[in-house]
Amino acid sequence: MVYAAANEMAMSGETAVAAPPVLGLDDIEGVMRLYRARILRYAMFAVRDRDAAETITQDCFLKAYRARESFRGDCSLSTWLMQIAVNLVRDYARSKQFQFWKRAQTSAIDVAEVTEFLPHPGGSAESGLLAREHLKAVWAAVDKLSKMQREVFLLRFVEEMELREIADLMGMKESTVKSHLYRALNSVRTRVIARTDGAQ
Amino acid sequence: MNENRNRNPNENEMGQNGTHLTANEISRWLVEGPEPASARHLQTCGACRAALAEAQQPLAAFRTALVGWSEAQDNAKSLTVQNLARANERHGGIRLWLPAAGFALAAMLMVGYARVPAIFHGTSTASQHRDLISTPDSDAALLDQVDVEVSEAVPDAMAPLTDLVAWDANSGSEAIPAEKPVVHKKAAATAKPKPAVEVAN
Repeated sequence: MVYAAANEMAMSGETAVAAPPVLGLDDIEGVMRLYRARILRYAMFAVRDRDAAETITQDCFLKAYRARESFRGDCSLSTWLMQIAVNLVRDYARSKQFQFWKRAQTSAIDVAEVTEFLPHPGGSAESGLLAREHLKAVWAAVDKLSKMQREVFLLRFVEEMELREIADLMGMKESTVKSHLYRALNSVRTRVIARTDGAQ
Repeated sequence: MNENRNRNPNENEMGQNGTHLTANEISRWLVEGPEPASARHLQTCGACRAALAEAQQPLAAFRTALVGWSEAQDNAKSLTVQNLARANERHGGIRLWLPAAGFALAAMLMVGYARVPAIFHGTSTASQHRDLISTPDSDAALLDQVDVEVSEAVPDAMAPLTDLVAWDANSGSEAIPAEKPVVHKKAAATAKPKPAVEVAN
């Protein structure tokens, strides 16, 4: 089982994520190719608006390219880009406060669209159905989270960032990050259990 | 295993004697990463491994689907520097247009400010200027005035001939021709021509 293998790796302290190649910001095309998907999905879930997420992603790389001289390498390039994206999302949320939810309803992605991207291993139809139910449950739960909880949840469980990194990124204490994460995770797990129990 | 699946994350039934991981410990594993004690327990407890896997499964499905979706979006876009440059131009264009637009707005405001006294004071420059705006009657008068002034400066078309005749006639009494009489163009046009006899006399 995939998860058992992942657990074993976690228990033995190994990591499944390969280190990204070292890229300079002068090679902006390469940087975009490597990190664009990451910035896009963070922005997408943070602002819940496809068009705005595209704009934020574009602006993120544009800002990074313009400010490439100021990047001293104190943190990883990935973290630095994420930092820019977080700031852009905040700016967006501030400027579009009144249109935010209205727009989100019209151009938000649908869970059905994302469900298509679930892998189809050689498992049974039942396991496929369960995975879809899980995804829908998490999706709905994440949708109900507060903005801060949602962002922290995404950074931890989708981007798999370390707590320290998230704290630096969000400009908050590590304990605050943990607090947000525990609340978010409890909400998600409770909803998942309720949904899967209801489905059975 | 079933009791693990239905374990509520808000419950805290952790057996401190190390029987099974509680929901809180599983949450802690997910949030903060593995702890040595939990890791040791998981190596020997299949039920807790299954419980942990069940907790991870929805999160993994969520992550996998999101990553797949975002990468598909990524492939749909052509990642070129030209795109970035175009965006740069767009931003640069905005930056160039903003000062120009600001200047235009300021100019409009200044013009508007200059017109404010005209609005509130009847004897302002604007109203005086408006008084000077001609009506059809004043147009005719003005044309006449201009006509008179121009005629005063330019001699009548027949004046040289009449002067010459007049000079010839008076040549005995005056060595120098008399000063050219200024003839009003209209007056000249309406005046009766002098008879030749009279000139001869």
